[in-house]
Amino acid sequence: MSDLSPEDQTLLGLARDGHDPTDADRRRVRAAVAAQLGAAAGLTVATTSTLSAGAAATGAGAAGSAWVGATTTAAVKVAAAVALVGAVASGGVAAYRATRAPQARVIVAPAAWVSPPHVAQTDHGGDAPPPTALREIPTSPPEPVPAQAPAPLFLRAGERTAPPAPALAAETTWPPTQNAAPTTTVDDPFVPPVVGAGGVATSPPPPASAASSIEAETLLVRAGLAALHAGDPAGALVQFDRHAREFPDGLLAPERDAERIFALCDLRRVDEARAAADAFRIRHPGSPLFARVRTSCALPSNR
Amino acid sequence: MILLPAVEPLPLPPASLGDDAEPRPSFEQAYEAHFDFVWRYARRLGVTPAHLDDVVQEIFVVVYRRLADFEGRSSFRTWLFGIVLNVVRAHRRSMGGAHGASAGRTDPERVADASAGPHEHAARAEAVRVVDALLEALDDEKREVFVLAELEQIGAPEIADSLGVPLNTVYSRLRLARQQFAAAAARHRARDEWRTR
Repeated sequence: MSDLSPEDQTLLGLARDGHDPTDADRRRVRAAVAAQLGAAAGLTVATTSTLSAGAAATGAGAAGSAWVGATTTAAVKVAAAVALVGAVASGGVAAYRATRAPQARVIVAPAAWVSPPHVAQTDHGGDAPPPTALREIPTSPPEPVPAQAPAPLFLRAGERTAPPAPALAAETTWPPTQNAAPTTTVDDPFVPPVVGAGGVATSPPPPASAASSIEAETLLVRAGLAALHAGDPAGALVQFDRHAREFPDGLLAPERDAERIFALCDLRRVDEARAAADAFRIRHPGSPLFARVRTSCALPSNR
Repeated sequence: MILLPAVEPLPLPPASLGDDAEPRPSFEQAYEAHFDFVWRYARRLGVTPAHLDDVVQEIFVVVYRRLADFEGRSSFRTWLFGIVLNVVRAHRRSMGGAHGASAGRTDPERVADASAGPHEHAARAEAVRVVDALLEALDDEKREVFVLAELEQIGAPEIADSLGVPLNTVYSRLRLARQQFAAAAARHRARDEWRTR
């Protein structure tokens, strides 16, 4: 029924297989979806009420296996993001970020993902998660995980091996502590040289547990954001630099690196901002945050 | 991740009656079976690579939430089409009309710059780029139909079901879309002397 010319049909035929996702795309999005649904199942009850028991069980399975699989980072990151927004949603930081970035990451308003579709979504107040969000981050130590046979991300109905959603957070495993030995990489552009400036902690205590490291990360980034919003980029930089030293590869490293660029811009340290932005692109390839970094002083439109 | 607007309650595709009700797949089954399609379709509807992860993720979150609503009266794929369209439309609205229409999209004028050697791989990559650019010539309604019909090779009746519009509307949009696509392709060839192969 096509009345396209043979030439156009050839063109379409050649393009037909284009845009298939790569394996990396599949893995990345799968982890994100699993993490997303895991967070929803574990942190809210509003959406699950409309789901059938089977669907809820599937969601719980998705969440449970996401925590124990190779995708723990993404899952933890959602939890950390929720914790972060719990702390800042009532303040102006969300609004600050929104003004900087029309495409603000969900980190400033994860309620949009977990609230019922009909709820009006704003960056201010109303949708803020309960203040207990931080405590919903699982704190249990790692459990033995069968490494050779990773569980499917999404369990079929009947394979309900995960606990019910409300109990999920408390029973999921936690990824190995990744920041047990904070190090400073000399050639890491994001880690400034340690200076003896007052107010900068010199040697952080090793995190007692992964949960506390998440909380510590969240506190640092939140403090930096608050300072940045309050018009104190120097103070913000102190917090971001401290985060960079204590958690060079932390879960919130992309956020820290991006916000640090904005702090540098506010301080008119454009050369440093540019170097940091270049490094950001290398260090966090494909990060959606880069779209925002592009709007900073670091990347003028001709670059 | 990007903050997507609330997805409005879907005008779910009308049930295409029939006694052969399709059983509801599990979320995992649906995800496995349709991820590649969802990814391709969202991309071809104009979602930029920078936003594709988030849009696809949102689509499956909606699928997860609404899976219990699927009653098997239409095919699951038809039902899924409707969700993809709604999420992508919401994404477009969130991007704003003019901004969303141009941000990150391929500039047809520059498409031919990257044309590579004679290898088939390069030809395919080139074709993808050209088609991307030409799809930009279509407005959203025509693009939705054209992509399903010409690239996904879905039949018009199923497209009508998934869009919730009469079959004649699908044919009408498709005819206009083909005309516009062909005209854009002709302009493109004239300008860049791009050759298929």
